[in-house]
Amino acid sequence: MAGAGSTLRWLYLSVYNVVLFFGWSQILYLAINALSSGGTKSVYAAIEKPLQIWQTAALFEIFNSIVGIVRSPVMATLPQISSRIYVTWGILYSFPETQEHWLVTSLILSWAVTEVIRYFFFALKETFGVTPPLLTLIRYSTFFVLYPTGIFSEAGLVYVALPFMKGSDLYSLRMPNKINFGFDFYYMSLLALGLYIPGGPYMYTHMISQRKKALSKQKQQ
Amino acid sequence: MRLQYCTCIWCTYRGYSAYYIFQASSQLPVESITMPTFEIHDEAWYPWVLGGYFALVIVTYLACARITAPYGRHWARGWGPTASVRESWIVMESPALWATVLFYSMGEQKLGRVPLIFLRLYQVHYFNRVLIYPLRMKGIRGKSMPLLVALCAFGFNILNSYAQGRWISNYGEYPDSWLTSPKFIIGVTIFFIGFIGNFWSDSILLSLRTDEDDRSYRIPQGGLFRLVSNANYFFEMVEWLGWAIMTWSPAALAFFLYTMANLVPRAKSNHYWYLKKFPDYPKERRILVPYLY
Repeated sequence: MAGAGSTLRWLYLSVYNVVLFFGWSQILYLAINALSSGGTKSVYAAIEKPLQIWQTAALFEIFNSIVGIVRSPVMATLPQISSRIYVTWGILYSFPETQEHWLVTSLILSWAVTEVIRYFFFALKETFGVTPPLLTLIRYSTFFVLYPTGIFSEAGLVYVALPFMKGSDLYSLRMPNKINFGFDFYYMSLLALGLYIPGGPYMYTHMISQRKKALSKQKQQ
Repeated sequence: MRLQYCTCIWCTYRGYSAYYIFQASSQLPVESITMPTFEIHDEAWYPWVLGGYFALVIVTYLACARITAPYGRHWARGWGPTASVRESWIVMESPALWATVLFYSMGEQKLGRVPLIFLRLYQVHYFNRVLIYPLRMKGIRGKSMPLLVALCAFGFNILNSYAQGRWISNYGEYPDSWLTSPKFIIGVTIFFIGFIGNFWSDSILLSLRTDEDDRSYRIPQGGLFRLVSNANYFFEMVEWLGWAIMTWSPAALAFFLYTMANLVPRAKSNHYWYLKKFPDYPKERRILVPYLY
């Protein structure tokens, strides 16, 4: 059973990483294409569906880490995926007024470049067991730029969406009501914005320590 | 390396042939009943059935909170006639395969792309539950479960197959554009996470007691069992949550709530059973939900 189990794990991770690598490559390609022909305003329309599909698929990564298929700690995966899903569905999809903002371009480019490199790195690592030094260096260095640009874009888009949230009743439960419970998406988003302040540095320093580990392991090999 | 490549090819072949059989078998009954052999005019009573289903959720929760159903590790005498475990599982869960198709085939939207996808996803879960899961049980020759339990499950499956089958093929409205809607994308992702997790958790449990001569219980290890005692129940709930989101129907909501009403109390019983039986049972394991419950 152990043998079949590890083969299944290998198969599952290979399929997952390869499929998502191609998915995000598609997003990157479509984004660059749209940029060159239509400018920043046309990027979202070009990538909306693939983004929704491939970003939602990343929910599997919470599953993978909580169940122990991969070694990433849940405390790093959960905030990462949550913020992605929140921005993809809660902000971009829900408030079309944000879709033509230039921050969408910086967001998609930051996300797509990071993910293409990351999934390629893991595809090679899990499927073939190889971690080429140059690729490892790239995977653990691009975040120095892409995390700040990505986080800035995410928070920026939440901020851009705020006035539209205030106006609409989307995802909010107004009082008074039968169950005497109120929920306001606007205030929740303010809270989410606030969470980026400790959250950003937390993820950044997490990547820095991951980098140290990965590069020193590389030196030993 | 060679073994991994061979496994890849073997899996693709098996996967493709299984898919082909599944495709053929799920198409056959539906398309062949395009002539009005059965028609059903349940517009008046379907809402009542749904209402009854929600009431059943409450009744089930109250009953299961008081009595732990006497099957599996909680087997007990005095519950009337019994039947073999494997046969019971197959028969009592079987309506989810045949009754669903039967009710589905009476629907006006039965040839719609999205209803068919829903039907097949439902069948993926139940093909495993009805056929694969019972046949994987080892070392249970001669073991039995009370017929009463099997009858209740059978009855429930008829109800659920009716509720789900009629909704997705008739009462629900699912244009092709539903496939790229947030409800479907998020729901189907959660559904598959639940299915894979449930299958894996079942595999772990099934591997614990495989010997006919050694029926001793063991502590499950690995997978989500590192964090909860009832990983299989958790993922089953995740599956039906995904189903409820992707179909966005009252029937599916009732099903998800029913699953919780049934499994949450049982999960608690199982957990305390583990704690009682194994003095060295890992204390950090929760009952059902990682970190939370």
